[in-house]
Amino acid sequence: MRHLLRRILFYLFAAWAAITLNFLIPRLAPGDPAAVLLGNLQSRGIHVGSAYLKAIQAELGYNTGDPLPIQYLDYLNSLLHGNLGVAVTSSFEPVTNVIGRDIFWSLGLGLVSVILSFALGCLLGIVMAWKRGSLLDTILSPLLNFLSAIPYFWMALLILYIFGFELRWFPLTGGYDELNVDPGWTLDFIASVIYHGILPALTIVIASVAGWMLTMRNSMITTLSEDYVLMAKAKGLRTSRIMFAYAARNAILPNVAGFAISLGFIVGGQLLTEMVFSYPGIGYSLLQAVQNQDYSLMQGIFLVVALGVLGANFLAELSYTFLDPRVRLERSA
Amino acid sequence: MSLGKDLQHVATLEPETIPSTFPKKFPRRDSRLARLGENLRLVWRVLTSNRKVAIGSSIVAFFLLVAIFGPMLAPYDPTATSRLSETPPSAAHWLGTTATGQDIFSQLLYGTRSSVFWGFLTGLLVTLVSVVVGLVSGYFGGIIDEILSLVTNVFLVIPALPLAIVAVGYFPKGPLTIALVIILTNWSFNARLLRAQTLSMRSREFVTAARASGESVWRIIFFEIFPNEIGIVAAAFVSTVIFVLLAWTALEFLGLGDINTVSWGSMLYWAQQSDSIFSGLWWWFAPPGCCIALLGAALALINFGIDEIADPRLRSEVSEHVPKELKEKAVT
Amino acid sequence: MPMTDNQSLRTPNDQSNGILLEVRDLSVDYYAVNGIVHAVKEVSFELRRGEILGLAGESGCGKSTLAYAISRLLRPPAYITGGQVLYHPRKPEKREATSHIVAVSDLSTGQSAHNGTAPASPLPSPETIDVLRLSPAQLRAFRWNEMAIVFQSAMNALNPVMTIGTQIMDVLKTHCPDMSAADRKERAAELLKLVGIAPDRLRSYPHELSGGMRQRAVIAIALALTPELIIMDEPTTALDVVVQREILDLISSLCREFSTALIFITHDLSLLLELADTIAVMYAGKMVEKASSREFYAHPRHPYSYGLLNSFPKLHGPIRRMAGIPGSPPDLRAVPAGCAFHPRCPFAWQPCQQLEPQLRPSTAETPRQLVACHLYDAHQRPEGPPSSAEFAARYEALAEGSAIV
Ligand SMILES: Nc1ncnc2c1ncn2[C@@H]1O[C@H](COP(=O)(O)OP(=O)(O)OP(=O)(O)O)[C@@H](O)[C@H]1O
Ligand code: SF4
Ligand SMILES: [Mg+2]
Repeated sequence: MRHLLRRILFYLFAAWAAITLNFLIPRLAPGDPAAVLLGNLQSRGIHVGSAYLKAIQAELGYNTGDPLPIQYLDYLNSLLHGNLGVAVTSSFEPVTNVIGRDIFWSLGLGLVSVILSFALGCLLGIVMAWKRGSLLDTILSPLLNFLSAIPYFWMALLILYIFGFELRWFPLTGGYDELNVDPGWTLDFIASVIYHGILPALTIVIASVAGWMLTMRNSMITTLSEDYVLMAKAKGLRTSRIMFAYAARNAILPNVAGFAISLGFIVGGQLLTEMVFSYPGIGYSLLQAVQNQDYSLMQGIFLVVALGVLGANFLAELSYTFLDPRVRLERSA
Repeated sequence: MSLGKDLQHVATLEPETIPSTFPKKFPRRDSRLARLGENLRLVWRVLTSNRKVAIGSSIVAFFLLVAIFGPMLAPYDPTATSRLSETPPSAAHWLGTTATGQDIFSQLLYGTRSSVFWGFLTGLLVTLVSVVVGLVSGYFGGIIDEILSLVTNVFLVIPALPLAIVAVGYFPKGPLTIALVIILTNWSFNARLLRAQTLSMRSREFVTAARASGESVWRIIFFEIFPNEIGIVAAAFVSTVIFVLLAWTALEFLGLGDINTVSWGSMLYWAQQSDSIFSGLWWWFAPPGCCIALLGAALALINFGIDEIADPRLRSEVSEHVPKELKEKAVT
Repeated sequence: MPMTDNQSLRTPNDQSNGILLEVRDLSVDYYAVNGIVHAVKEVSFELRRGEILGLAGESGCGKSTLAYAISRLLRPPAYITGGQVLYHPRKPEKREATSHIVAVSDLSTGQSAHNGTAPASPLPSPETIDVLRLSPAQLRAFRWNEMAIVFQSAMNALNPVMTIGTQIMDVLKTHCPDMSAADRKERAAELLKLVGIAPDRLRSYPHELSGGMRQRAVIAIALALTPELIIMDEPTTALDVVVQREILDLISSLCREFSTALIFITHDLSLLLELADTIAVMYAGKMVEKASSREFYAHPRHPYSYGLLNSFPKLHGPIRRMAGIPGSPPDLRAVPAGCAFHPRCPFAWQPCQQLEPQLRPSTAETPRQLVACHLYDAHQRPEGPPSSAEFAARYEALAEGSAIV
């Protein structure tokens, strides 16, 4: 129990750190974001009066003349009320609305891809270690090594070019067919969503599967030389039992323990992938925010992504505690 | 971007279990210089003895050479536009031209210089921060360690790219901003690795001896302990450069870098801005990505080799000279 | 295989008197990166039912390799390059009679007839099983039912993420598919009790047990199917002396209770003298002496055995320098020609460097004490083997010589 409590405290602290970073970064930056924003709006032909500038500044929390601690409290207060400011790129819609609309696309895409790539990577790693030196292993190992060094967005470009542009098998942009299908729980819509999601998901899976696989392969090879695997063999157990219950069951632990770091990268990669595919997730909104210097939206997205990743990590740690009896401290005594 | 995971399982172990893989391979002796020399020699031996490391370092060396001499060989000014726009690869333009008629091969040569230079420099700085934090945290222990570890772990779980995007967005565009932000978002992983390693080294005889002889704390940390961790630091540097390269090109691709300098990332940015995909200009966006992937794969290969050296169980079995009938008979 | 028989110290009942295991000219090579290691060279011996054979020798002489070869557990780069391992199972009806604790599925007919899921893998002949020729499926059926193995470190031999109970019941589930879950659990608890662990430890994970308890648990797993033969590779090395003693007593009483044959591997000869019926000594991959413990203790024949035996301090008798045997065992990639021991042997003379001695009866008085040494060859040494006193004197001289250096 103590272990669990410590981890909860840690994640709370990490969440607080992310929130505070989000507060500090704009205030450490030189220049006046509100002025930049104003110039940006004017250049797009949107004229705003000085009263509005004040409002935006207040909203963004700059130049209010208040001392930093007061600003900080204000910031926390508005966070508590779910107020993340307004998104300029999305005609002054509240940031929470924009994110709320996008998040389901991103969550869906991310969940499916991460689960697929984790499962596939682990399975491949297990088989490759078991059949070490086989054709599969000798071909796949260097190939995946190469794949793992490819930037997500470039992989996305390549896949989009080949399967979308050249072969025309899949749509080039979007999350569903906006012209012919209405959103809703209809078969048509779901089919359209899957059809549009295949290439982005494929990108994320291909780009991230190598990491899981290589860790799994190495860890599996190390585990296979353990005495308990040899003993399982000596016990005359079935091969599948030895492979999964004795070897893989132990070998997967580093992969689960490394989940946190990998997830951070995959989520980053997913944002880039969404940008390339113009997928209606938060990644695409982030791109627009970046291009239009829409600071509120940028920060809001960072906050949501950071908190989401922290939550996922906490879940991963919980499952690790479940997987490895040695860290279930409360049991041993 | 899930590279360098080969080191992850080491990093996630308890500190006391780590030394069993590494120190055997990175031995220590008492004279400081001798130890550093020995470790450096070991790094050299590693570079030459393992096939993966050898191939990887050759490719990296190739890129370094291109970075240094490439621009001299460039047939065109990489930024000069011409009327020959969007031409596919030809004898005159080996890799074709951009939408504005710039020679892509020349851009690639110049881009290699910028990307490799910044990639390695930033990688070095990131490693430096990791070393300082890791060693200080591991050596001092106590409250200093608690605090540094906490900060390290927090940075480890906060997703790096979104943070980098937000941070870069607020600061003046340019390589310095990107470098600083990448340092901020990437130091934690190796810091944790080195902390664990230092922790295990703190109670070794040579450290105790140095402490007893009244050497200053900083000398002990950086002249006694650090030379013994050269091997791990080298491995950490290699994996860091991969991450840095990927992060750097991602930020440039988003237009957060200086879009007017020629680099792999900015080439991809312009290719994307001109919708090169939808015009079928594969020769524009393909080469820079290939370079990143190739350099990254080479660096990863080096790290796999280092892993094999540190953990002999990962080495592929040499069974070429095993009589065939024995291999066939051996069913277990 | 001529006359490799010896008088067991116990008087086992007639049923267990037959030969259980025959190892014939077994050789194992490691095809290592830097050369071929001849880890086991033409080793032959026989093991009777219920016999405890102690296998001794310095580190690296190939003891573990031999044990793994017999149980077919060698992994690349180790390969069996020659020889046979023959196993004589108990006659089916007799087996039934002894398998009172669990219904062991009948190996000679492959599986219990009423179970459809078990692999159809009849073992070749009910008379003799050629272990090295078993197919993977046959091997799986053979393993643990007939031959179990206990590894050096119990911590490493137990799966850290699985409870002790599951690891015991895994065996029962595989080999006795007819057993109900409740029966399996009961049997597992019974086994734990047998080795002196409270049955509620079934739900414990390995890390929750002490080192001694872990080794007991491993022994419980080994006994799960009451095999005819257990191979133990230094089962007590990782334990402290007191626990070591307890475990040894446990092993010896259990083996006698179930008349299980045991191959016990250790560095520690003094330990074997108490436990084993028969002692075999290995040097550089070869078996150099095999004798009953009594004979071995009374008069070790091989100069190496003598050195080994006398490198342990004796409680009685004159205080002598306990230098052990000067020098170190040879690199198994390049073993000296002739007798591999000759560079270290205080008796070595000319034939030792050319002729490889074979394992054969030492003297007329002790025909069952086998030794591989030219000292006992009437052709090479017509004057007959040296006396004990001469052994002592030569070793003393050797120890003095090395002390000066
Ligand atoms: N994987 C391997 N590759 C090459 N040689 C090996 C390998 N494993 C063992 N050997 C060699 O085989 C020989 C026999 O090893 P083995 O483990 O059987 O010795 P042992 O008698 O059990 O020693 P110990 O008492 O230390 O356990 C040793 O000389 C060793 O160097
Ligand atoms: S054969 Fe010769 S060298 Fe070998 S043990 Fe006998 S006397 Fe010594
Ligand atoms: Mg051994």
